[in-house]
Amino acid sequence: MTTHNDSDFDTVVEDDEFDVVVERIEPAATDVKALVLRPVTGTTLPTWTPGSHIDVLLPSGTVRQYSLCGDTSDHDAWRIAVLREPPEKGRGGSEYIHNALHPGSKLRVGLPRNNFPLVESTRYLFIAGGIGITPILSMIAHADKQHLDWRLIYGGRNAESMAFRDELARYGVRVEIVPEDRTGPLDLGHMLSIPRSDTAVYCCGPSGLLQAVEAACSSWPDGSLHLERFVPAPSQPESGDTAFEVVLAKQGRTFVVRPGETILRTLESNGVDVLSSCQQGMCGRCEQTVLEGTPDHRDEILTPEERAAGEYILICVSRCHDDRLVLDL
Amino acid sequence: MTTTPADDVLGTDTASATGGHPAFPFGRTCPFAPNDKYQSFSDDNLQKVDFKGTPGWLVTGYNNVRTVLADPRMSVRGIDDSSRGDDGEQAVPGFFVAMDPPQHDDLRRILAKEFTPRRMAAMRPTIERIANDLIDEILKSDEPVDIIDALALPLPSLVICELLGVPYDRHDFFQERTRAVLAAGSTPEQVGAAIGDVMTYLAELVTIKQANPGDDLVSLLVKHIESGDLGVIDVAGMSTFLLMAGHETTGNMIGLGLFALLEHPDQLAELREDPELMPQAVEELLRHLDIIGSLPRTATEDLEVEGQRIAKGELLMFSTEAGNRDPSVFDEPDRLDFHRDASRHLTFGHGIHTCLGAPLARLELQVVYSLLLERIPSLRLAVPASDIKLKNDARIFGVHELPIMWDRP
Repeated sequence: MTTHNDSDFDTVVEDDEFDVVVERIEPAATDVKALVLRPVTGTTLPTWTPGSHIDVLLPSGTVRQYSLCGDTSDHDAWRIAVLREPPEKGRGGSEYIHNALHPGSKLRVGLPRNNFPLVESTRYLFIAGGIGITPILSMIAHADKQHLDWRLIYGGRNAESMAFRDELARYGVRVEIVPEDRTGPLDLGHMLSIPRSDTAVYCCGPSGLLQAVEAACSSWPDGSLHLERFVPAPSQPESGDTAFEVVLAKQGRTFVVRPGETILRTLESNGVDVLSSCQQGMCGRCEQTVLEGTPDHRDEILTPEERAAGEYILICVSRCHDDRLVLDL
Repeated sequence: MTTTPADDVLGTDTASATGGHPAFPFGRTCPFAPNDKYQSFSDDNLQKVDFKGTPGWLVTGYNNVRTVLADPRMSVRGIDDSSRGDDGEQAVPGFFVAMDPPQHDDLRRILAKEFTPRRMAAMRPTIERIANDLIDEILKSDEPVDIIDALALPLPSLVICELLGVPYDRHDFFQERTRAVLAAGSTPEQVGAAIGDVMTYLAELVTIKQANPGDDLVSLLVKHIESGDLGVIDVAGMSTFLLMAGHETTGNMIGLGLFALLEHPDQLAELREDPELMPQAVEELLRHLDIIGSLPRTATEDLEVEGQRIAKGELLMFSTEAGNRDPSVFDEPDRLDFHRDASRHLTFGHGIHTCLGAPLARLELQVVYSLLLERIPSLRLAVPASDIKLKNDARIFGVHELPIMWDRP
């Protein structure tokens, strides 16, 4: 007798944008967090194929793309891995994901799209650099399940920065992990020097790696090489990271907080005496009262009501949505 | 410096077996001031001290302590300090004081919301109730009363028990086990056993709360077990850590702070005259007394402090008590002055490991001192101040006993 899962009666999401629930967030490597996303109750997640990505729509309005790196046959969970980019690079999105999301948080996402599909081949060579491993993981799972001939070369700065090494260990000798600090940069020569007509080469990683692989494959048959470029950081800072004025109402002083600088650092470097402690939005010591301006909250401790009310701001991490923030200082 | 101890427990040699560096921490001869040995140290010429057999650079200037403590190249790993729960290899689950990012941040973040100044203010009625009950018992007792035993140690222990949701009938058990952890004479095995006992009970409490959640911190942490964030062992560890961290620290500060108030009658008079001064007075007492006194870190990369090159892996000792007496930051730093703004003191540390419980500690101190002044205005020492024994034998400084008396109506 067949038994039905609850999910057999759930509806598959079809809207362009929909909410998922963050089930858990785990560190996957230095500066990398893996998020497991579940559908809202009563729905199942749309199907996807290896190489797909989803849009993640952040509250600030920015949109980021992340490769799906879980199990294609699991309709109740998606996994993405997010590398934390330094704030100076102007992206901001990864900061939000790393700092503001919790288990239970809702996340607005788009339907899976695939610009990096896995073509049929008898043999695959996967080359991944750093966070570029994410679209490759599901490709490996597929190739392995089909008992096809495949190899992965996975490079990174150092072992601790390379996500999913433990999972990849189960594939044994097909996987070569190359941390640069121990074994030097990837040796593309020995992998790609002899062109083959039966091999599909898939590469994802930093632009330097992609360029080198392209060059090394120049004499390979057309169509052998498949690259995925992650969208480069925009040259302009995001809306959450523009410069703004901070006005100290009691002292009658005004300063400009530049992108990449915090209100706290700006004030301290101008000799303003303000209290602070943890420097990461977690202890409340630097909290100030807002008289004007809409805070862009990036801390860990204000409640949703406090954030909405906009009366307080933690100046060691938070910024301002407007051009001007007036503090009761 | 107004007193000397009856028995000098500082019999240790200044030079150790490891190349003649002075043994650190220095300990105190005067209960209210850092040791005179600091006078031969200056950040212009960084020198090493011997911390339990490991040489470490001693940093004493306020600016350097504050800035370098918060430097991302500082790690809390690889430090021989079993009172933080370490067995040397890995931090005990949940003891985020002994973890670096990202593990540290992931755990601290879960608690951070609950320990903000505004959230802690809601604990005031509970703290007042506990303090008043303890004072009621004191007033019924025969004099002299040791206020350490009767109030200073029980109060923070009971407050943390309430915060966590631990039943009061396990209170004596916790107090005895945390004392075992912090006494410098305990062997690593004894410390490990004490921590293990507490964690075992708290793991039991976790299962009780899973079945029957309440409006307490363990129940909140249990929610994170359900979401897959934390394991039972992490919650047991975090609860153990909070209990231990919030207990003897605050207890010792209540005792030593009261001793300081009694020995500085001019400042005590100011406080009686203007009770609104209490929050400021508490900050000044924290600055002046700094019962932890120093914080160890290891460097994860080569760095430079005041031109002195520090190699990756070396130990640094940040003396918050010396920084708190830096004359370039605090005018006449050795004077206890409730009218100064001491809020920039280093006693709760700085950077990512800043004391999570600071808002709670401040509140407990304010409540306890206020209630004592109000309910036992004639409170005074029952023995000469020079008879008071100093706790130079534990990680956290304080007094062993503080016998007090008062006028009966």
